[in-house]
Amino acid sequence: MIEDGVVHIAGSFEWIDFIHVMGGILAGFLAGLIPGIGNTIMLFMLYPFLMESTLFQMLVFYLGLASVSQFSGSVIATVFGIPGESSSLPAVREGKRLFERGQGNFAISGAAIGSVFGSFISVCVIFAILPFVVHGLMNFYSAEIQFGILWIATCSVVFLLGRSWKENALVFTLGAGLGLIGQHNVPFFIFGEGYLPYDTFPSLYEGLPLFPVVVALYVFPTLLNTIEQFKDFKYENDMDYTDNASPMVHFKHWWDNKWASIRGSIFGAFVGLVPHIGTGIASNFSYAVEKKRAIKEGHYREDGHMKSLISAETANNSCTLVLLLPLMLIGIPMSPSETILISLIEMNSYVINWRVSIEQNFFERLTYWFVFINIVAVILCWPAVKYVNVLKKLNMIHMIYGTGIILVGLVMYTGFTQYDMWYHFTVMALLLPLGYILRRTETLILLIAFILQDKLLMSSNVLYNLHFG
Amino acid sequence: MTLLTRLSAVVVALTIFAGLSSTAMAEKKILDVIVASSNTGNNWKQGVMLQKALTERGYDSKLVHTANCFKNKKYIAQTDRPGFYFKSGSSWISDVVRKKCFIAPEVTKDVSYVTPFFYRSNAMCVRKSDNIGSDLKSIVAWIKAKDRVTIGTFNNLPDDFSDLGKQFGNKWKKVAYNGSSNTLKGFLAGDTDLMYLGYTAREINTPDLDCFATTGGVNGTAKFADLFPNWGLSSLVEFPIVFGIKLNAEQIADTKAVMADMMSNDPALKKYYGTAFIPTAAELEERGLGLADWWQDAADWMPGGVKSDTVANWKAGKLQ
Repeated sequence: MIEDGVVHIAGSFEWIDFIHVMGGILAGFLAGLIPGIGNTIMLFMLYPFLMESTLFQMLVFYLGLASVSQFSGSVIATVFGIPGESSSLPAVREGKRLFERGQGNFAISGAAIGSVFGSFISVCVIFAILPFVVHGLMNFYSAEIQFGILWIATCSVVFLLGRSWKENALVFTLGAGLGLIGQHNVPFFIFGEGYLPYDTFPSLYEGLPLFPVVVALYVFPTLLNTIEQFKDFKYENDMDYTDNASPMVHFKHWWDNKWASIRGSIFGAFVGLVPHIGTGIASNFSYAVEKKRAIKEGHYREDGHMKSLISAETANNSCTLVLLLPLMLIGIPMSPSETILISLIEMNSYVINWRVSIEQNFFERLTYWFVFINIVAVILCWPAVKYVNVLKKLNMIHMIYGTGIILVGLVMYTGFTQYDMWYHFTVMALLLPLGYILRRTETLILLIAFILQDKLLMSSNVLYNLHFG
Repeated sequence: MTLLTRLSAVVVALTIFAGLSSTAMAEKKILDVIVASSNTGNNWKQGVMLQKALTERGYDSKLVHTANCFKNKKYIAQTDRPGFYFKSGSSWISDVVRKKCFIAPEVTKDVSYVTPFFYRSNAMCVRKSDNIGSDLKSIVAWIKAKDRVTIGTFNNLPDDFSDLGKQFGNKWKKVAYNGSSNTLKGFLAGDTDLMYLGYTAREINTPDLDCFATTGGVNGTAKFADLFPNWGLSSLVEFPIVFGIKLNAEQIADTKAVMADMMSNDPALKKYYGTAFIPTAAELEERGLGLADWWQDAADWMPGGVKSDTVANWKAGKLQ
């Protein structure tokens, strides 16, 4: 397989793909390092650079971004104790303690080397299950199956995320309601025709554009929460990150924990398929299993446990590629960043589904690049970690304000590319107060409802006509 | 040489290069291909092939995806680049009647009629894997034997197949999908008993499809009018024409000529239309088809038919 990968990358090598991979790696490194940015906002901010990209280039860019941000996110979690995404909670808990007892460099290298290992396991899982999945889709992806998958995706966000399912259901309904504005083809109807000012603002017929909705109702609440997180934030100690150990010593440390890595990889590759919360579950589940095992065997250390950390970090990276499966096969996004990715894909006039992915051999090409990305992350990003202390000198609040301003500019720019700049700006401005009100809720649910409502409607309508109409 | 002199030399060189490049670009004729529908179906496929063929013929051509009538209108209002889009009567009626988006080609100053584009049959198909039998008799008997027949089709078909229900003595249920690609996917997955869709290379080359009847009776299929004599839609076809955007008289003539050339000589386009027995622009010009026929086709796609003065109103830019 390794030989195939080298032959593939060398044989079909294109500089432009390579540039996208490296761009994704750099963007991912920064997305993980800067709190509150994350993959979603970074992907959104870089859209102008992806406007001319092909479908494969966007996918490979995203893979670089999503893989490396996991790694750099765990770096700031370990060094500063700042949680990025839910998947970095084990790094905050164990990594921070390891850092304080002078083992931070090994915690980070363990996560980096473990991620490469996890990528291999993930590739094996993909190759093992893909033929069955594709066969199933080609022959059995009927209206009933589509309907079932969509409802599982819907129920999973309502029941698994956030604080209460009732609040989630309300947020979901709100998102679906916003998504319904405009015209719908199947079944055909114009939502709220007597109540919404379609004649005054004909752009409403096209529905609310996704980017302003994302900025106002997902990014804005996220940035507000990050500002709150940093309002009274002080670095707990003045320790700087240092690393004087040779790569061989680092590798030996990881090798001592290889079984934890293997367990984490396998958990990640399978548990990662849980819709919308895969990465968080994979990471936290692997962590919990490894910790319990260590407590049972009597070698868990309260001042930082390396095996638990490595297992969790390997798990969250091994599920990155697996998480892309539903997007590439049936066009259903599994995370907020995938939601942005699919809208960028649509804005660049591409379609993604199993037919396109199989015809263009995307899976094979992506898996080889995925391993390459993880190897490059070790070679380039791991040494760059020594500059992480610079972050202490930056004012995070100012960076978040700066991000907000850039995003407003980007909404106007994407509106301009869609021939309707002021419509996009107005939608964003009108929805911002709603974003403020919803800042304590799980607005990812709103976003998913906004995206999925059209598919839910069509599949329900088809199913009704097939069996009852 | 001082740094300033070196920098000046670089600036002069870049200016000359930029000047030469823009001169070279200026010599190229601009003709964009605008696709005002989804990017999943046949229109997009043709748009991609047309843009490629234009580029190969030395045009400065971009593929613009405006996706729907509203965005298309905005694009037309904002762009300075000459281009064209193609629109069938079915799509125009769907825009006007359902989506309330109206472009009157004969009175809109930035839009001009160029040429008929193509004339494509619709087809009715079964799945080979259902083992109904390949002869028409077995298929008709199979349809007759059913109490309820489900038929997958695109969403803007102005008919509920009740005429066919009367003919076969059973209930026909139309199941609408969003676009031809979803219709085909659902049909192949076993959703419906029959499928009614445009007859393209895709339908001909899909191994599990057996399209037994078409509007024109092409490719050895039965003719709808013979098989379903009382069906109101037995003569319905897909008849798009090419509308120019920001084209002067000379550019209209040039676009007409290059369309005829591409559709007859570009290997990909020739194969696409040839495989599905679709008469193309030059042949339709020879037959004398034009804008008036397109208006008639649009009227055929109007659900419930049209009043006598409706088409005249449309032509005059009145939405009534």
